[in-house]
This record gives sequence, structure tokens and C-alpha cells, in this order.
Amino acid sequence: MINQLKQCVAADLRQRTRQQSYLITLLVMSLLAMLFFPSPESHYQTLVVNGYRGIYNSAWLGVCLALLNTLFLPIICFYLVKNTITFDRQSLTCELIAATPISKFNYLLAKFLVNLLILTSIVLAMLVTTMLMQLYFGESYLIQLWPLIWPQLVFVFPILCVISAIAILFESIVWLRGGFGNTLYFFIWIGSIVHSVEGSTGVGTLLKQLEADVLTKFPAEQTSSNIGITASEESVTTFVWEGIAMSSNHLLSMLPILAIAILSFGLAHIFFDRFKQATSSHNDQASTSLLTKLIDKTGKLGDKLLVSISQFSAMSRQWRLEVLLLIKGLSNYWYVGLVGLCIAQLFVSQTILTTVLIPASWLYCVLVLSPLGSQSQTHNTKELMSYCSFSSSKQTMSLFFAGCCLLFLSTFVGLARLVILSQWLIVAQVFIGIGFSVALALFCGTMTQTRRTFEVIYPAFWYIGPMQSALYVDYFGVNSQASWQANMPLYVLIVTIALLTTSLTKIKLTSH
Amino acid sequence: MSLEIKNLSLEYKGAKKALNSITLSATSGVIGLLGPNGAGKSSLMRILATISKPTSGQVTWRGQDIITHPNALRAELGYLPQYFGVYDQLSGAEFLHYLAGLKGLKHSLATQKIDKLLGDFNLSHVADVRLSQYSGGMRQRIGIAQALLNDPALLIVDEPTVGLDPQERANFRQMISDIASDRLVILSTHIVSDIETISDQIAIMNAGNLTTLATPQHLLQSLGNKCWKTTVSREHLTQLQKDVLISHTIRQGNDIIVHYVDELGKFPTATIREPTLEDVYLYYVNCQPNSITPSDVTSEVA
Repeated sequence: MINQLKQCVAADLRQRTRQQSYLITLLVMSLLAMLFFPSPESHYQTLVVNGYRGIYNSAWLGVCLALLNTLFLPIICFYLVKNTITFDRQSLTCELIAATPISKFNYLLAKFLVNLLILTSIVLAMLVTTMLMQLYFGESYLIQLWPLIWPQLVFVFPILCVISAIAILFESIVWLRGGFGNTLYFFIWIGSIVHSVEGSTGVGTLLKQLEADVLTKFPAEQTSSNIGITASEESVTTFVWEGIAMSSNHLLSMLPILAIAILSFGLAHIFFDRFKQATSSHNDQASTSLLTKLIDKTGKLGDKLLVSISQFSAMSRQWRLEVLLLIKGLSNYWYVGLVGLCIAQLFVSQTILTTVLIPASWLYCVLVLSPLGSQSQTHNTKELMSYCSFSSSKQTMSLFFAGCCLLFLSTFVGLARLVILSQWLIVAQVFIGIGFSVALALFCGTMTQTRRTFEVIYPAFWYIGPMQSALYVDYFGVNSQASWQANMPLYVLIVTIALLTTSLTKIKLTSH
Repeated sequence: MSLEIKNLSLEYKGAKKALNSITLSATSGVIGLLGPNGAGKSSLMRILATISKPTSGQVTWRGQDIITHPNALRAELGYLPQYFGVYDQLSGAEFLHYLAGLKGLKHSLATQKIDKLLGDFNLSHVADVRLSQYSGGMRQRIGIAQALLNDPALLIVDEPTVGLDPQERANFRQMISDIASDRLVILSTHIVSDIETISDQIAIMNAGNLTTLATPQHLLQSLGNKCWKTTVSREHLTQLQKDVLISHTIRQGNDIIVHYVDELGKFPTATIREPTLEDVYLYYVNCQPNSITPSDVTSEVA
């Protein structure tokens, strides 16, 4: 059993670490560690307690790195490792593995361990960068290994265990494997942030101790801590923080996190099908329910309409085909949801329509838009496409307009209401928002050749922008007046054109 | 060592049966599995390889049900699927070590086996080269090598000669002949010549049914008076294609010599000829869709 596990871990580790993307990941994460520690003159800070931050000595950097890693690694690292069983499935290595005597437990344990090793190597790279940053800023030249390492061991390592186990769990459950799982995890992460900082487990205890230390040194009526990126025009006051010693309380506070990891692994073991569905699922025929018949008939009518309006040029004909390609294979329930959203757009107040429903309708389409730009890579059709006489630019523009058509379809009822109410500025913003969303999907797909990038980035934009009304990220402009005053629609339009042009250039370059 | 398949059926939701009550038993030797695309060969092989489960029926290996206890077979199984992937960042030797580990081989024994197999399949010189740099034929040979790592008592190979050049195909056939004396080999292919010289039994499948299972000699005898040849002009060839089952044509000036299979010959100029396994395949796939009864199907090659 040990040899089986060892070989499984060794092969998977080699496969994943020998890829160029692994080195790039290490570099990017090291860069991120550099951004975690801004220079004293910087206009942002990442950890400030009551307006104070510790000098960059090993104790402060160690705790700071642990706090930031606990917040941000779950979202970054999950998407890095949630592809290992999928790779075996897609590459058909699973056909060989499934016929061997390896047990589900050993296979999943090996995958979990490799996830953990890769994530640990990332944290090690960040730790080394942190040490270099300490020397670079020179606020303290004394490198103390233990104060740097123990917060990572106690607080970050269990988080890595959870990420590794949840990634395995999401890959083991059929409906969590794809884009839905990616989006769901994003919202789970959002929900967990507050709990992890303010809760009495994990880094919450560390932060509370840090706040208490600052309060002892610099008494204040209220305590306020800022973690993450905080804009600060004035330079913060620094102080020498000696750090805190590791205690059994710290270890105990991480036990619930480890329990979640074990539970996730256990559930993965229950749900993992040992590749039984690798090839049989495609043979399952769709049911011929009343709903299917209704959607089929509506689809045929819709296609007739598309055929009649798209016959005037080769590009419009291609546009129709791209629309069909986007919506082919979608679940019946997706259409039901879309119709539900359209009906809701008719009855809610205008405020709810613009602040909630229209952005929600776009988010609803994220999994349909995410393949834009990476379809030929996913379906291995590059060579077939490359010798067609139809130009890649025209094909890309057809793809862009097909995506726009889909988003338009998801919001046309609301849009019609806004037109009737003569809300021309918001109407213009809807069109700009549609263009931006599709251009972003195309850009992400073209640049990274995977649909996952858009599935991660778009919900993040959506949450910070339209949902949290952060003016400079709000591509839709839910506060319409403030948005126009800040010229945001125009900026978004420029960004949209830039994204589209970059995608077109990349596609042209790769097709020659 | 015996493999027993009883009334094995596989049905996908809402679709026609992929396997329809297949029954056969086998001990050792080579069973060549022939059949058109969609006949159910790969479905049958995936069930025998313990990857997928049937809708109904039973498969036993050495008396143990492998549907409910797949591990009873897996340690003794070698499987080469029609489509398979590799970890392309690993070298050939590393990938074989990985699969040897999964099959439970000790490292020292695995090293010996891997060295031998890499030599046998002419891959020693690229043993340390990453699989991403292998040609299609080299990857296929790595696939065959991994199937043989654990000296399998049951070897299941699905389209093993795809991507191999004629020399490699001949070597493969020789290797299967050499190892088949004390194990059971089930070899599926579209290429009749791959199995005609090495198979002890040939099974023909069509539309999920096992149409026939017999020795090559028996199958050839069964077509003894049904194989004909005649010479026609090019213009008549199209009409002939509609009337009879053509297995082979040879151009000769403006005329064409046509080899075909038919119960009666049909043409006055036609003469009887020796049947080939191509004729057998065409005849059983096209003219005898359900010609076998389960009780007929027993393959026991001493």
C-alpha cells in the first residue's frame, strides 16, 4: 500500500510540477507576497491596527503573512488545485488507473497529498520572498525563522489541508465539478472571510491578540483593524512588535479547520465514482418530458427567426451558429431560470431591477459565456478551424456578438421597461455592461485558454462592482448619476474595446 | 483460470442495448473480438476490465463475481483501452513505474519488468524522454507495455495495433502468441489480419449481440461454399454492389475481379473460391445478425 501511494504521489507531483504553469504560479505568488508588504511610502496598507503597523521584523511579517494567506489563499489556491482528478478524466489516464487494484481511498489520498505539497511549496516560496522583503525594507535586519514559520505552520497549513480536501470533494461530486462548483466556491469563500477574521477560531484568535497588544501600547477607545488592501493617503505610525509565542490555544483553535478537511475528504471518498461515469454519461439520452418538448419547439421557432435575420452576410450567418454553439447542451432548467428572471424583471421596482436583477441575470449567464475564446482549445478544433477561409477576426466578432445576444436575451424585459421609462442613461449603461462582460469573457478565454479564469474573475468583479457599488469597479453603474459624473461608462467602454482588441490580436497571432 | 460471462446486458437510459445477453466462457488462449463500430466490443471490454458495471448479468473470474468484487480480478488484469491518456510530463520509465506501483508491484521487481518491456518494445533509448515527446506509435507501445507489467493472467486489449507500423504490428502479434499459452487474452480489433494467425477463437459481435464464437478453421469451413469470384466491367460494379456482399476487388485493365460472399453465387460466370476471415467477418456481421445461442458459446482452448 505504501509503495502504491508513493508511486501515485510521485507521478502526480512530477506531472504537475514539471509544467511551466507551476513555475509561473510560484513567481506570481511570490509577487503577491511582495505586494502584501507595501513600502512605507506606499498609498495602501495590508494590515493596520488602530492606525499602527509593526515594523517589518520577522514577528510582524510572519503574522501578517499568515493573516493574509488565510484570507486570500483559499480563493487563489482552490482554483490552482481543483483540476487533478479532472485531468485524469479528460486525458483518459483514468481508463488505465481504473483497471488497477488501487483503492478509492489511496487514489484520493495521493491526490490530496499532492495538492497539499503543491500548496505548501507555494507558501514556502512566499515565505522566502517575505524574508527577502524584510531585508529589502531594512526596518529590521534580524531574520528569525521561528516567528516567521510558526504562524504558517499553525494557521496556514490547516487552511491548505482544507483547500486540498475541498478541491478533491468538488471534483468528486458531478454537479460541483464544473463552472457551478467554481462559482459556488467563490461565494463560500466570501462568506468565510468574516467568520475567519472575527471568529474565535483560527486567525481570529491571532488578530485579537494583536489588537490587544496594540491597545496595551497605544490605548484607544475603539479598536479597528484593516486587513487586505486599504487605501491610505497618510503614512501609518510604526512600532516594534515583539510577536507572540505559539500556544496550545492556537493549536486547538485550528482543530475545527482540520475537522472540515477530514470531513471533506470523507465525503469525497463517498461520492467519488472511481471513473465509472468517465464515458457512460454521454450515452444517457435526454428525457422527452413536456418541458423538453416545449423548449425544443421554442428553440426551433427561435432558430427560424435567427435564420431569417442572419442571411444577409457570412458574418451574420456565423453569428447565428455561434449563438447555437453557446446554448447547445444547456439544461432545461437553465432555460426555466432564464424565463423566471425575465418575468421577475417585469414586476420588481426600478431600483431592484437595476441594482439586483439585471446584474444577477448577467451572473446567471457566466457559465455559458465562460467558454468564449477557449472553445477550440477545449474541443481540439484548432486545426479544423485554421484552414477555413473565414477570417479569425470575423469569427471572433461573431462570437462576441453571440455572447452579447445571450446577455441581451437575459435582460431584454428589463431593458424594454427602461426604454419605456425613457431611462436612456441606464439603457446605455446596460449595453456597455453587456459589451464589457462579453469582452472580459473573450479576453479571459483567449489569454488563458481555460473557462475557469472568467468563472473566477467575473463573480469577483460582479460582487465588488454592481453588488457592493464600488464606483471604480462597477462596470454597470448601479448608482447611475455618480457613475456618469465619474465618467465610468466611458472608461468601461474604453476597457471593453481594449479587451476586445487584445483578444482579436491574440487570436490572429495564434491562427497564423 | 476461467472467465465466465452469463447473460451480460448493458442498457443506457433511453437508448438501445449496448450489450444484449452475452454469454460465453473461456480458459486460456487468444480470443479475437471482431465487430463493426458500435457493436458493443468496447462496452464489453470495459465491463471485463472492471471499469463499468452491466445492467444485468454476471461475470466471474476463477469462480468469483467481479461485478461485486472487482479486486478479485484487478491484481491479475492487464488492460489496454482503445483510447487512453498518459501523464505527458513523465518519462516512459517513470510512467511505467507509476502504473506498476498502482498494480502493487514492488519497486525492484517493477524495475526489472520495466527494463525488459522497454527493451521488448524497442523503447529503451527513449526510456528517460518525456511522454510529451513520444510519437503516437511509441505511446501505443507504452500502453501495451503497461498492460503487461504485472504478468496478467487476463489480458484485455482494445484496438492495440492502432498507430503501429507493419513491423511493430508483426512484433505485437508474435508477442501475444508467445504469452498466450498460459493466460487468457481478449483482443478486440477492426483489422482481421491482426487476429487471423494468433486467435484460438474468434468472436464476432454486432449490435450488442454475440453473433458467433468459433475457431478460425471452423468459421472458414462454415463459409466453404459461399465465397465466389467473378469478373465484371466497371459499369456493372455499382449494380453488383447492390446485389451481393463484396469483400474484395482487384482492378485488371478495364475489368474488375470481384470477390464476394453469397449463398448461391448468383452469376453464371462466378466461380467458387477459398474463404478468408474478411469474408467471415462480412458474412456474420451482415447476413447472420443473431445466429448464435448462448449454449453454443464456449471457448476452451487447452
